[in-house]
Amino acid sequence: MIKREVLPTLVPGLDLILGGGLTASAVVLLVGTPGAGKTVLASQLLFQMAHNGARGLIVTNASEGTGKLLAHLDSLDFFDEALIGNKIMLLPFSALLSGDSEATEPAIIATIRRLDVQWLMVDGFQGAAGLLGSTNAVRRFLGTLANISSYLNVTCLVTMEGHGRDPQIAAELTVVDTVLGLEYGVEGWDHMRRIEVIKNRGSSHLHGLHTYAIDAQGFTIFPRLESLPRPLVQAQARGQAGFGLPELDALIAGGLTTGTATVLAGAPGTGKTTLALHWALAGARPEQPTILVSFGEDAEQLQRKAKTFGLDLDAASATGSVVVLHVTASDFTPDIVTASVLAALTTSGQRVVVDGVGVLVQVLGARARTHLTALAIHLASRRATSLYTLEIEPFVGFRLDTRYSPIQPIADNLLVMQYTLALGTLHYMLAVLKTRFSPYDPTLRELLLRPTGIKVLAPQETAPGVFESIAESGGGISPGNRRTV
Amino acid sequence: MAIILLVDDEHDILELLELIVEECGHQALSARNGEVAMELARQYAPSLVLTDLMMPVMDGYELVAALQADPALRATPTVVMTAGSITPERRITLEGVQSVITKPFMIADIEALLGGLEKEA
Repeated sequence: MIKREVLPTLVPGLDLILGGGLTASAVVLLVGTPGAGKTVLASQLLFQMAHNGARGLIVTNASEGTGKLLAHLDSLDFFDEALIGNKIMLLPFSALLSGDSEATEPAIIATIRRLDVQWLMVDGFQGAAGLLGSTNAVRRFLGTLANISSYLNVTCLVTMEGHGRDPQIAAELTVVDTVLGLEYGVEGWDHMRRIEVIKNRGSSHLHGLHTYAIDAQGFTIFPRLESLPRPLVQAQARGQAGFGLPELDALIAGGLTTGTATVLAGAPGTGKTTLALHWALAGARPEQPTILVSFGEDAEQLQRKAKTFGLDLDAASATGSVVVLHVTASDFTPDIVTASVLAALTTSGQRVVVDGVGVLVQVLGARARTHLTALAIHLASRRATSLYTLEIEPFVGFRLDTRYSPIQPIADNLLVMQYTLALGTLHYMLAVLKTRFSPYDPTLRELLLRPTGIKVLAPQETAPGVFESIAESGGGISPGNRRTV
Repeated sequence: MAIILLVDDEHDILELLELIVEECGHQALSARNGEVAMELARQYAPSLVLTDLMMPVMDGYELVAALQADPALRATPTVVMTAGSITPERRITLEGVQSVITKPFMIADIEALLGGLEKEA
């Protein structure tokens, strides 16, 4: 048996989910709901191959027409009119018919031979059913492509409306080499696009549904992080990634252990983002930039907030020491966000801040724990140190149970910030609940949020009545302590 | 113009071979199994037999044996095509054939085969 060549598709993310690429001379069925982008994906493949010197043939069904197809593709960057009629030929499906449905197969074979094409795209194959006259004729046509593609050295892309897991098209799926299922629908109030490699003969493709986006450049696929092969996390020399706040760093043996993940949980307004900004800037260098993902405040708002506390995020952004990835909390796709974070890691040992991880957890839903586990592994493999801020209920003490929580995989270290009321004044407090690979000081510390930055007070500097107030409200400093109200 | 006998149970492969044969200026005769092929061979005395090995009713090995056993057809050049491997025991039964082509075949190889035949014809 001759092992067939694997062809890289040049579509971002597609080769990864296919397990390398498309097999040369394969018959690839792209099946999906209307508007899913089947034609865009097939055309993108064809045009890219034509740019690299291959010759292609597009056969469209009568209802779409070649003119309509070209008008549709004209808005996409990969479309190149100069290739039409030169490297890419177009033909209506009806041109292959001669009244005798059994003559269609010889006609397509002869056309492929005559035009000497290496790529064939049959667009809107569901429309061919009417032209071919019967379901059997449709299956026979696909069967013919499957039988002769390796002899003619032609890779066939067939787009078809439907659902890739519909038992009614099982016969069609059997004869082809590769099946890509595309879903386009509404989830809640948002549109979602997902692609699944249902079948790819002879490859170890990535299982599950993968998010994709379509823009002027065409398709970009964001492989499901949980499906990606787990990178090797090598034993590493550990250092400390400090906040640049001597009193706080002293509590955690000089800083957060490098390569670990930290949850900085806190009530609203306790200064989580400000503290995270301190940490982000403390380790930021142009040659090793900190990645800052913000689910709430945009870059300008963050800069303003930083300035309030004497932090120059503006300058750090301008020099490339900090890269801000702003995500609109009301409309985002988790896989795109995490892919962007990983793509922004350009060197080993960078710091990553995710401000407002609760939003990500909420949108991920049942996937949250596995997705965050995968993210933590990928970050650790790049020796990145990460910090996630998490909003918790105010005035409930410092208890935070992560054992069965989705955030457990990112909680190597756990810091909690909370309010307490003493003698008619609100006080901001910080407790270190857990650190990994290093010791920590378990004493509660009061924080002062001042224009010069955050100040962590020594225990003896804590305002009168604060510790008593915490004790009275039942706020324990360690997990499993008294229930707080 | 030579008469080429094509034998394969796969309809699409037969169609492709017919097309190549016709493009090379020869006449194609097609059979879906060895039994039909023998009938056509006796009737038309082809210049070349191009046959698959794995087929129902009468396979390619039996067809080769039948051609060898027929004094009128014994000298007919025969080329076999196969997608699988041939065991040494079975290879002995193919000693009379001109060559063995692996499937999926290269169209250029078939054209070269037919081109050579054209010179002889």
